[in-house]
Amino acid sequence: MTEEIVNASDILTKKLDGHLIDGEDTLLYDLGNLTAFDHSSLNKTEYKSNPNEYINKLSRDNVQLLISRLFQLPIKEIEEGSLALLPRCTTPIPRERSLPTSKPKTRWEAFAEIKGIKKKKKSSMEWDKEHEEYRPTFGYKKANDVANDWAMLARPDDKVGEDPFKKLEDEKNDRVSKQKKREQRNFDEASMRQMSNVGKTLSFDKEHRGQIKSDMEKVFDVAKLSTASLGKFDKRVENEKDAPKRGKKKLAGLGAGDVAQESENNSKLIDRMFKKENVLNVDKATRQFVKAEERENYSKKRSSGGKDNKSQKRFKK
Amino acid sequence: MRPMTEEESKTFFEKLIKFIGKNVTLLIQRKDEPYCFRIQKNKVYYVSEELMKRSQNIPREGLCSLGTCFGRFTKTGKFKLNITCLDYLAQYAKYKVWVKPSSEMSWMYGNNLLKAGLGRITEDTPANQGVVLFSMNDVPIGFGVTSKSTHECRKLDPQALVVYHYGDVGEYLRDEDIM
Repeated sequence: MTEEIVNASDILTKKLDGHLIDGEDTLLYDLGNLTAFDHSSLNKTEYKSNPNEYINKLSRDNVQLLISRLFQLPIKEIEEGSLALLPRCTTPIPRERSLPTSKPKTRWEAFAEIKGIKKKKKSSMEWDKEHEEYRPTFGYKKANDVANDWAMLARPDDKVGEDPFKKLEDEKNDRVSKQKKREQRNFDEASMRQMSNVGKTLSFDKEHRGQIKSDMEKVFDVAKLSTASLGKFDKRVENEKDAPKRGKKKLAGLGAGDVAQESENNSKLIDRMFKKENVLNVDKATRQFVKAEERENYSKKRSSGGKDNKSQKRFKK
Repeated sequence: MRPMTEEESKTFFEKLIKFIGKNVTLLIQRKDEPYCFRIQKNKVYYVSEELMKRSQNIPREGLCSLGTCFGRFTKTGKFKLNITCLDYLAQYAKYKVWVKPSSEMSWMYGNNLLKAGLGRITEDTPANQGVVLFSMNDVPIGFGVTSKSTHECRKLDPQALVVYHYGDVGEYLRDEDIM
């Protein structure tokens, strides 16, 4: 019998010939994102002849190249089948949401940072002398709890008739309420920095009532403009006031006014101005006075001339 | 273009009264057609109502002038009369001065008027009064302010100043660029 020698490479070549791609591989791969980028230029002639066919062929070829590259990756075998181990992503993808902001500092934290005070870790257990064992520093079953004693030593500054156990309880309550105030203050300051008037809780006593009212009005005005029509076509609430108008003010009296009214106003203005004015012509009055004086002098001269004539007559006689 | 404010009106009419006195009402209330004063780029224009309404369609930046320019407001609020209102001043002036032909050219070059060039002057003209100057054939050639009253003018020597120069028709050529 004669036997042919069969090469595996020949079988592979014949079997896979219909799927493999001829030509160079010009793609840029980002296998971590299952992505390939084709930056080569298009064949203009083929594209213009039949755009859809050309684009579809190009896409199919590129996808084939991408999948061929995936099958070259290292493989991990599991029960359901084989998995490819993807490498790291090389294309940076921007973050969808903004970076979370850091927690705002409390007053003490800010002060400690300025001063350079470091926080030291303390043990939560303390030695209890009475029971001769380690017990928590704070809270239930705390070490050296004075309140559990049946008797308390008196001090020189104690007042007569005062209950030391009640005093102890009152002091504790004071400390607790102070701490609550501090926490609220930190929260108020932080929220004030972020957005004002949100998260603020004021008690409804007389001293805060005005502040609460103005805050409420401001929030209401903002809410009125927060609709699709900016409040223009919204239904009005009972006793609602008009929102303060914004925007540019139009120039009043651009010139379209009543000209007759304007003329009348101008005439009145001129009448007022003329009333103030001095109508007397000083020069004219002075001149008249001077002329009158001269006329009087002339008449006097004439009478003295008459006297002279009389004296002459006497001389002739 | 806008109407004058109360203060501007006061300043404007004070200056106008200096030249034409009570006749300023004849400018404001006319028989034929309503006229008004409008300010455009600190210049005051005397314009009929119809023309004013039409000019409102032109934006302020693009409007050069309208009607007759009476003068301009300085940045400190004073008002200065322009030669372009000479026709109205000459028409309504109370006190007039006539200039001899020999001094007409001197005046129209921007010089003050001397006693030698004084031909005629309205009787009883007070000192520091706004006057309109005419040539001997009654053509208005400018306006100014008297330095002496009529009575005092008769005693002056020929070289003394009689009228201070304020505006003259020669400005149409001398200040053609800036007018």
